[in-house]
Amino acid sequence: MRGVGRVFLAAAREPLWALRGVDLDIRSREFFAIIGPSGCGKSTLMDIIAGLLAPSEGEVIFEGKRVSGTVPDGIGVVFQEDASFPWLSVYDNVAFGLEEIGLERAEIDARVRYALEFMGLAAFARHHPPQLSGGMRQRVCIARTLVQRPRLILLDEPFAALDQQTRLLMGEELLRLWRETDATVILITHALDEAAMLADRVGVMSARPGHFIEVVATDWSRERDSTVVSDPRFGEVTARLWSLLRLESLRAMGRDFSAPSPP
Amino acid sequence: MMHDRIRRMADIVLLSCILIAIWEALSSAIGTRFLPAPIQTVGRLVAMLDNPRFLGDLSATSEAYAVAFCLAMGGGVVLGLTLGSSRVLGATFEPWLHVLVAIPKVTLYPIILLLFGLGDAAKIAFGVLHGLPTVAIMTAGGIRSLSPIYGKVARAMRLKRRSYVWRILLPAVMPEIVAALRICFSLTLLGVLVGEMFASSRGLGHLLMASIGVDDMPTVMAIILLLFLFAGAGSSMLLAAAHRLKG
Repeated sequence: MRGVGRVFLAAAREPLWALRGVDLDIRSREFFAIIGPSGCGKSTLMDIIAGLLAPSEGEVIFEGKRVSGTVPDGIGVVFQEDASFPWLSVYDNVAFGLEEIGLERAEIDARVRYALEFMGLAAFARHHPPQLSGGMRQRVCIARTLVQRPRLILLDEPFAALDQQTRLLMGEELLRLWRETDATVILITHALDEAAMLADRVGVMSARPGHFIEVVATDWSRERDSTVVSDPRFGEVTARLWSLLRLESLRAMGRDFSAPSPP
Repeated sequence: MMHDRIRRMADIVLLSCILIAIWEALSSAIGTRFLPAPIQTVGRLVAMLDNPRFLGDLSATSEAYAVAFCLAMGGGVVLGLTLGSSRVLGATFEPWLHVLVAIPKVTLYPIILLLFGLGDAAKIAFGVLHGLPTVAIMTAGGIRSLSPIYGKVARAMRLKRRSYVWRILLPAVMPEIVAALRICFSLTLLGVLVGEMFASSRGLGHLLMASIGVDDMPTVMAIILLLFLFAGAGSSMLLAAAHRLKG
């Protein structure tokens, strides 16, 4: 990303810059997390990276090609909201995108069965989303993205609606998925511990207009799991992220970051 | 599940018995000349079902109703999808549909007659006029209340517009469409019958008016009973379909 910015124009109002001057290089096969204060433009940035939204300035390059307004082949997106289709079974939800690109039935079946097995959904293939928990529905959405074999997976706060315990377990599944698919992952989250646990690097965004103020490397091994939370370095990473995020969150709330904290 | 079904059936039987008892009591109080008793009405209906002339009227109404229902439903869904998907078209044309729903359609019947003349086309058009606006409004409302996430998913999957409409939009608004179907079912029937009452030489609506004219109350009640049973059965089936869709 080079100099990416996005402005929203509304009649009779000042133009609102959600993002401005966003520069970032994501390495291949990297797990990159993005955190930032509420309203800093994280989801707007994800939409721009995905090609769902065109930037007002700057450019996003994916595999040497400029991304603008359409989702390029090779990018898969998992949204924060439950995006499963309640009228389809779990199997048909996962197969949905593959049928659309016209793959052979046998190939679709093999891919869907692998994804369902991988996400622990094989026993629920004939169930419908309303019969599943929130965590399982989100796994259906991840499986639906996974079967397309994306080289870049974008996740916009996919576990936001889940409880802490399920989040940790889903985080482990996400790490396994990342390792086994060799894909590059960009995760947007508001949970510091989630970002510190999962990512190779964490990009911290400023208050609006959002841009990266620092990229913090975690230096975890590729074989990590949720037990890194007991590593002494986990506390250091989280503390560093919080020290950066605290100032920006105060700024986003319209408070003077240099003012002393109330007693 | 089975227990619930038996209980629901028992409720329906009980309600039917109460209604028949009220009907019987009213008939005794007013006199069978003005309000024929249930058994008398059923007897007339059975006899009429053996009468080729009545079967001709029944067939005329059924054919007109089937055509009007398909046109109202199909046209309403297509119009609803169009208006619901376009903010400009919705804002421009939907208020007119609301006006059309609100006004008594009988006032438009002279225009329908001018356009379609006397006969089947006029009563079909009148049936469509009753059903279509409601279906269109409900379908458009269903689309507007859909989560925007479906649109984002479609774009993220690089779906073509046609696939989006057929594979996401239509199934997602299906519960609203089935609810609209239920309302369309009765409104279109009403439109066709009213059309037959005013300007037709055949059909149940025409027979109803002719029977009222000669004070043939058993025939009037038999037609009402037949329509009641038909509308009740159709509405119950569509309600069951709506419940199944909601899961």
